[in-house]
Amino acid sequence: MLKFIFMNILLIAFVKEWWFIQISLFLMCFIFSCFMGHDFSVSGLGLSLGSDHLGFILIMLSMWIMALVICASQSIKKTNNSPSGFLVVNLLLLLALLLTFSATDYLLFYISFESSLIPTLILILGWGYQPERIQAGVYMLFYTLFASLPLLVSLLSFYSLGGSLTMGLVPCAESSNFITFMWYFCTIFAFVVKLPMYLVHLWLPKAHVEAPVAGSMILAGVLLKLGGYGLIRVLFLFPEVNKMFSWFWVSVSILGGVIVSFMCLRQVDIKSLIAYSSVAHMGLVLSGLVVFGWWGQTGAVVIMVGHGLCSSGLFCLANMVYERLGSRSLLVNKGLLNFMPSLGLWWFLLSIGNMAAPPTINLLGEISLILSVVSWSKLSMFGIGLLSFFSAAYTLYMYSMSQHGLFFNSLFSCCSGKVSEYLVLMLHWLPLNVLIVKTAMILPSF
Amino acid sequence: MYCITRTSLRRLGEQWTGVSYSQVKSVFEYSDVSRRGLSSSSTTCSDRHDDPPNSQDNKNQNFRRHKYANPLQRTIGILSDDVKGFFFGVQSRFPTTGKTLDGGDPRPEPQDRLGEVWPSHCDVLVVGGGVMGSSIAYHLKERALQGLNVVVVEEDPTYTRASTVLSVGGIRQQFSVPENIQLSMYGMEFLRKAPQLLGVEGMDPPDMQFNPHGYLTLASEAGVHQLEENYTLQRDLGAKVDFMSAAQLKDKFPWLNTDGVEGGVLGLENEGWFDPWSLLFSLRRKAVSLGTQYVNGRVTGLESQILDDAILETDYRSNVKNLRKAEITLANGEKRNIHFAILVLAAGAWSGEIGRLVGIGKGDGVMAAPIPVEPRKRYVYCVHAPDGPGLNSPLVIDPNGTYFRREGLGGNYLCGQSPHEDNEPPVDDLKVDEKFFEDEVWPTIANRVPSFENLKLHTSWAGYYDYNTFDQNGIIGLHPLVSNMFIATGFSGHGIQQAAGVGRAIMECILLGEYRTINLERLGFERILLNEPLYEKNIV
Repeated sequence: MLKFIFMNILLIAFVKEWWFIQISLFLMCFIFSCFMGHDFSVSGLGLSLGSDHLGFILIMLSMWIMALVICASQSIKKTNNSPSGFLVVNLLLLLALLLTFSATDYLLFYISFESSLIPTLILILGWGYQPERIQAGVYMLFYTLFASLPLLVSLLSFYSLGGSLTMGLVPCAESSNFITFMWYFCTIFAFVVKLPMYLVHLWLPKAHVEAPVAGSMILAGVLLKLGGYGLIRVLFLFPEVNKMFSWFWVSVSILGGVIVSFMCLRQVDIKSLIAYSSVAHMGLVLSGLVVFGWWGQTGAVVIMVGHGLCSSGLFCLANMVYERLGSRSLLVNKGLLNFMPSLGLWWFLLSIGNMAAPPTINLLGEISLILSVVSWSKLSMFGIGLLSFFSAAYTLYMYSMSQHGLFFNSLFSCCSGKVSEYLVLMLHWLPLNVLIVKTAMILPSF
Repeated sequence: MYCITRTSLRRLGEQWTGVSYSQVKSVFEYSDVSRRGLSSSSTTCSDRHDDPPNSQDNKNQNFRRHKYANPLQRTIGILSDDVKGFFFGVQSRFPTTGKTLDGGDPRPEPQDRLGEVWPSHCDVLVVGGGVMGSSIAYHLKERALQGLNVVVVEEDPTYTRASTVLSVGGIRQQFSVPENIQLSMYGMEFLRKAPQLLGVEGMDPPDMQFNPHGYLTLASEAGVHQLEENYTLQRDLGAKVDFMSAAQLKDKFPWLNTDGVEGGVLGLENEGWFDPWSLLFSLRRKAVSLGTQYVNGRVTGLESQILDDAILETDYRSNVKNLRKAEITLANGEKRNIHFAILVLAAGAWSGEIGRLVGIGKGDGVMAAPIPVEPRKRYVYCVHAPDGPGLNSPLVIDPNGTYFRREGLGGNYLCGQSPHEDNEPPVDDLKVDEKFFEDEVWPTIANRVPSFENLKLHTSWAGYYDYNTFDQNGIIGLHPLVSNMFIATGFSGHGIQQAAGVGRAIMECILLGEYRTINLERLGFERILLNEPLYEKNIV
């Protein structure tokens, strides 16, 4: 695993050439998939690093999304808005993500989890549009920081209890008294805010609306999955308490997802709409995770991968429209089919991916999650039914509002997509739809 | 523990921001609590900070810096501003009401210390904050609410040169172009509903001071036929006007001298005059309360992208431009940029200049045709005639173009005339030529109304028409080669009555993609390129 960390660090030396970083990131993905093309459950062990199936799929996702981010951010190179600084920040973010997903030690995991925040913040505030308008940076920073300090305390308690923080060697907290509950809550809360769950989700729409396309893609594509990944690594340490309190997380996330889906239908900013849809999807993920069955955890991972690709692709599309029209408001970006018909194909394909249409892996994940949560409690059928239904509703709303109707300027058409943009969108769509034939590649085998 | 944290936080805040917390007064100490809503997201209350400022008071808006050397410094700058904002935010909820309670001088406003956020990105940029620009902003925000970010750039917040406030404020349906009639009819509807539509919570509803005394267009024998045609059209479109013969006119208006007059059309309803400053002010206030941001500055540069695969072929192949960035020069000389999606040009008399910034008027092919709007100075004279027509007088338009109307209840009248083409006054300043009154205006009105013989010139002022040199009617719509610029200018003297209608039309164009209520396609910029003028058939 160290070879990839080094490759990442050494790439920072070459940030003066944009094309070199672009190609190297794709190369890194390829080499990594060759590296992990075996049947062992864990590999690449050494120096508190290592990757098993879950780590593999998320590291692949983060490298893939990062490569696509660099492809999609050509405007920073064109307007010369310190492109080498941009690449450095992105590579540092990738470094933090690689370390997080390949850490076999909880403390290393925590440190890189926290350090992924700083490059993200610099990305959003440094290259963003108008972050001071809605205090996006402060919200993100303080929400995540405030929630993860208790996590540090609980990890240190594990260390003092068990003598080691290596994943797998940490003893489970068997009892289910009040202190264990507080311990459980402190541990979980950081990931729940990162996911985000409904009540603590306010930072996400603000961060997305003001972030540049790179920030949005990385945020939706990978950073939210940090929460899910952390939960998978940490939940099994609290079997009894989790069983007692999982109802809380399931209720809040499912009902929160339904409420947020309603809010999606009222959004006028495309990016805000996609951001709220992320909250709804992640609500479903959270509920599957805490239910703690095989179906739930697997479905959660599959949805995380699918949502990463799909949301990242939708943000890419929203940015393409923004680059041509200058506005993210749905009131100005309407009738795009008149204006950019070829891009309508990608809008459609990625939108139906968002609402879990076959043959995307989102469908597989959603079905698994529905199975697991409904088997856990039949009452959740109502919530999940509404969640699925409204995810289709707001996706159709977004597609129809943006594509159909009259464009305000009916005089002519516009560049309907350059080849590099099609490449980026295709590379989002292809894994999303083709991986369903070999889902063993993305299922974490526990 | 809590007290120590609280005290240390307070000390930190005081040191960092330089304001002592003991100076912050609690809300209950104010006798006149500000009407601004206490929540930071409240948009329904506006207070005196949203009013256009008086000339001496606070002409310079204070904006935060928005240009940093590199993104890292920008991150640090924004974060520190945000954190400082938390300390200031509590204070800015309760602005001072002028003097502190112990009679001292008011502190500088807390908002000024940090500055307003400069709107570096917006959805719609309206150039010109007169009645057209404010009406467009109001209609857009009213329909779109939080969905569109509208910024209005107005060079002169006291409106000293704007056509709006210097206008006579008449509204009539007596036109010959159907679109003009429909626009004025909607304008009157809007004026009627203005107290509800433009009312801001916590402030008095606006009062347009509308005088419903109508217009009287007189025609000599040469023009009475045209007058009848116009009258038929106006009746068809629903205007409440009446055609009167000379005898009926003499009967109704005994002070009128009907020599040389064959007939006249009198507006019975929905015609008259109102206070244009009220309309402007209430539109602006309502737009601001709905969330528009007014920036005091001048547009000095417009940057565009060329859309290289959208080509317009006429005699020449021209590439379509897409405007992206405007450079605004603030009052203190600073230059800042605003990125926008749609530009609306409502700069009145100076629209031709702004067009040239984009390149309309320079270049060849379609771009060679400039926006044919230029300022033309018009004089308005206020006279005092103690034996004048009195209450029973509409706004009378003489066959040769001179007009007069009653102003107030003290025997004052406003009058004026559009000078001949070859007699146009210079437009560098707003000085009034009284000789014009004595030579041209007074003889005509004295002839028409004998009791005006012994009037005295009380005051006078001059204002600019945004004069459309092509056909003296408004230009509304997109420019064919600039993909996102809407033009709404060139109204040549009848802009104030059409402001509401034009605002709604532009809103429909932007939000709905087509004209829904009044079809203004004939008033588009294309008629200038096709050389098909849309003249008002004037009455002689």
